[in-house]
Amino acid sequence: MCGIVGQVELRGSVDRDRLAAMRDSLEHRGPDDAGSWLSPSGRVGLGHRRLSFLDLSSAGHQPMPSEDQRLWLTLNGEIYNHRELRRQLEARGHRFRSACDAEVVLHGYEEWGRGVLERLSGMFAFGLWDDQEQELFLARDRFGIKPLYYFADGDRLLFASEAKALLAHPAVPREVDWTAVCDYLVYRYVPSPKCIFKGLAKLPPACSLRFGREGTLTVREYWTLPPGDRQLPFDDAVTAVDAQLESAVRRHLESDVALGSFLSGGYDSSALVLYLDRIGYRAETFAIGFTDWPGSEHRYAELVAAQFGLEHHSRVLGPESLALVHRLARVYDEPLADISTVPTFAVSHLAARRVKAVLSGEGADEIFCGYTWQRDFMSTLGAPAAGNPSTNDLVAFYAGAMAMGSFDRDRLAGLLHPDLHAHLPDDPWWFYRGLVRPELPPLQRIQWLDLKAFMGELVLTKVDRASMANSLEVRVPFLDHELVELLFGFDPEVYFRAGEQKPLLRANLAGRLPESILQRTKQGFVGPDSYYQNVAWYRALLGDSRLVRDGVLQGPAVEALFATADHWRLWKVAVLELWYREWLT
Amino acid sequence: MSTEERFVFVACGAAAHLEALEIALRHLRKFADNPIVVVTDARRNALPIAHDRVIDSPAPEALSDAQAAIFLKTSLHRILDPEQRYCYLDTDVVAARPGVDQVFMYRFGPVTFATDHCRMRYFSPWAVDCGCLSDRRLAQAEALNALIEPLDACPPELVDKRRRLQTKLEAYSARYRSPAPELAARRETVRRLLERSAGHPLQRRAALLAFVLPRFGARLTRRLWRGGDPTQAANSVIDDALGTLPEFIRRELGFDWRLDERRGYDEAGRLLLTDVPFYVAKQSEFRFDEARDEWVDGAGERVFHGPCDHLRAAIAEDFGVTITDPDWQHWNGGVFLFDARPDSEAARFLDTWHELTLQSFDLPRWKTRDQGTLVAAAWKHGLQDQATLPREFNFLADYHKPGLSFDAVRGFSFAGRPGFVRPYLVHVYHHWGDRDWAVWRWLETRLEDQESES
Repeated sequence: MCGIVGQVELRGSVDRDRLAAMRDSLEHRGPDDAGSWLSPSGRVGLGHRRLSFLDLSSAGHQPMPSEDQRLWLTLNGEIYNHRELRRQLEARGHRFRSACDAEVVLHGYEEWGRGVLERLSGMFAFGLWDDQEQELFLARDRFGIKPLYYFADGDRLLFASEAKALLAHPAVPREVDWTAVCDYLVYRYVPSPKCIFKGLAKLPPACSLRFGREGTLTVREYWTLPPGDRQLPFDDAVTAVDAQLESAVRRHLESDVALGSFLSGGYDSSALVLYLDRIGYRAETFAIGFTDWPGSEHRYAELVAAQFGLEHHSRVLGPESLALVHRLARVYDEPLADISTVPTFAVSHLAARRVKAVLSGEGADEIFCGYTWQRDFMSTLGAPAAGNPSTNDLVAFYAGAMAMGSFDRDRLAGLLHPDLHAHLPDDPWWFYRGLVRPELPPLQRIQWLDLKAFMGELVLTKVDRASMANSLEVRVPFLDHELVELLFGFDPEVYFRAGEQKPLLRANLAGRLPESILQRTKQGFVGPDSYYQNVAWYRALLGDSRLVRDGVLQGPAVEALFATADHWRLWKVAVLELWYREWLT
Repeated sequence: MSTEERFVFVACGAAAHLEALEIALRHLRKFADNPIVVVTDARRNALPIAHDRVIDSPAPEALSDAQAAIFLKTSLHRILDPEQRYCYLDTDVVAARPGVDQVFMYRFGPVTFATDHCRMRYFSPWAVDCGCLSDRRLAQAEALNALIEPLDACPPELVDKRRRLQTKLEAYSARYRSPAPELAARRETVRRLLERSAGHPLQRRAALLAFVLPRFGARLTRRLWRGGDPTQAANSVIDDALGTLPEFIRRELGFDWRLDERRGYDEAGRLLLTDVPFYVAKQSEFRFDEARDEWVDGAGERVFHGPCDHLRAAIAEDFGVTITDPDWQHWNGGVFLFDARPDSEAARFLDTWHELTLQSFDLPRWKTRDQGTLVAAAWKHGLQDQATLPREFNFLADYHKPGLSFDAVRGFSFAGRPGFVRPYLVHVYHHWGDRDWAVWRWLETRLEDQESES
């Protein structure tokens, strides 16, 4: 896992020191090594910070050239099927100089061109300069596990793993896109391709970008999921999932250093531990708990770790942990209003003391149907008797399910200063609306929204930044694309049962995990409500708000949030306030 | 994994310091997993240090032991392995529960400190020899400070608002103190009459005098013209003026001064200002002597002048650092996080702190402490608005702090504030080792308890 940066100048040349400054602003993503490459013409520069897992030698140094130096690559991520691809490529005459997965991307691009993307299994974001074609090729993995930002102004294109690296370049203005602020208040995040900073963009998941010599910029989506219609007896599906999940976990262990695992004591992380045990891999496990709270998960995690005899580490947070939001304002260079950022950062910090990478259970709820709103949907709009839900109904349902202090247009107008009302969206739910795929079965329409919106934009961003701020790589076996394609290939009736949580996963865990774990209901990775519902804390933070002083928010509207103890909206405003102080003042 | 997080103590000199280190080490070893380093100047030590990671780094011989410890503390980045990250602890900081390692999560900037238990103005007489504090009355002064500060406090979100109000009040006050002859004459008249009407609760308020003053001359003349005792006439004029004071304050200053409560509120009803001397006098033997412009005890002996601006002035004059907020919540130097890499902003900060502190050793008005120069370094590097460590990681358990209560199960609490604080690191202020103090007894039991983090 690493941090990457790059720059292509259409007229001028790349400043080596500025490129290094951009690169080193991402040191947390790769403290093990640093490298830069400037093209002989001086028009192209790539940079890389390395957190090394495979081939720890200098042979893995990046940016990495092809043998003939036609291609130069800077890659962030892991290619889990690199051995298989290496065999295929060697059979076609390619010769490798290292054991690194990055080299597979280079040779794969030589062999298959942009078609290499469809063959890669893993999490990645990379920039590849093709000197022959004079073209920059950027790509991001299917689910958006790894981030990629870019900036293009007609004279140049800059790209980086995090926005902070782009902001380190003097050509990039530090200005707010106020429409993105509206989006943030609506969604809790700024959806791709938009960015909170004007002029910056995020390459959406499963997309590639070409930047040619004339400054032409083309974005293409290279992967999607077809509708599922495969019928299979439940027991056969259980067996198929079992095999694929074991294979996914095994592939995610690809590393020359020891890996650990997050463990909450819920279904998903416990499943990972179970499969690790079956494979014979002894991973240290890491959990977060909260003081004076019966719902604290760390006790469940201890149960599971004890069952498998694993070395387990817990950290118990108190109310003081809310202070971490001050640090998270720097970690997340766009505002992200999810309360689990705090424990995610804390568990990453804990794990990073022992290991360089962990497995984590993200994605399981999306593909196995673990979310309450998926079941709510199937008992209402998605029920067979309800007919085919309209896009408007589906968007309204999903917006309601995701609410957590949502803002519609009127609420946005009430909160934002009138000077900014020109930026209010006509359709606050434009992002969800654009993701609705009427050709999918109703349940899969919701799952697709979960994969692309909630998970792709919020959950994976949350995990990537919190972990990488601690120089920790998080691997997510449930997002092995073959596993996802297997699940999505089924008719939803195969894997969905009303009133039952993740039946296909549960069936694979039954009898292998303590009953107290199997009986648990879904719980978010958050602390007690009392932590987040402390109006005095919000008052202390927002009572003299710079957003209000600077004419971004209307003071009486913020006061009204205090008066009504509107915690979720206060949380959003608090995160925005700290982000604003960190990056704009 | 390549970068390790380590705790670091500095101790040298007298046996008392090294014995304190021994206690602090025992506690930290019990509750922390991260490695612990001790930095010392072994030549000065009255006792050997029993620890596995001790770095001997001689400080200049000319320095006293106290100065040597500060010298080492502020130059740790030059002594320690630069590739690691650190949490410095004073030797009177005692780990009290599992989870101490969490402190490293709260790295909010190049260096991260916790706040002190008072604001800069209150700390000022402890940092510089300004004459506002008599050493022999140190404990008494601390007790008085502890009384004043909560009364003088306001919620963080109102700090700026109050600052603006105080600026206005100061402007009125300055008008009152104006050297203009016509004002000086009136002022003397007012003062004389006010002295004769001794006991009026608001007479000491220069700002309020400034309010009375413009209304005084003409009205007094009219009253005297109608005949009567001059003192009565003056009091009558003052009472009239004060009667319209709340309205005047609301209009001119934008806040609501409630004479009966002796408190001022903003338009939303939030407390902004308190008549501190009035409440201190109600709660204690201390009172503010207006004529002498100083706080006195029950015997009329000066305790100290109260919060002062001399530290800010000294920082400006001696180091050229301007502090625009006279009421800044300064940091406590007992616990802080830092990086040691020579090219880091943390190292540059520590360089500044070190250099300013060494300079202060040679400046007569500076006391041998590092906290005043810490204020200067923070502002010089523009870190004054940076977030601070949660108080759980440097909880100032002050023996003399009125209103601070302790419960061995639930933790510390402050009078009038909800909730309890369960600190990971307790900074013991005064009465170190005093077994008659419940806090110390509890700390000792912490070494015996088998509580685990999880």
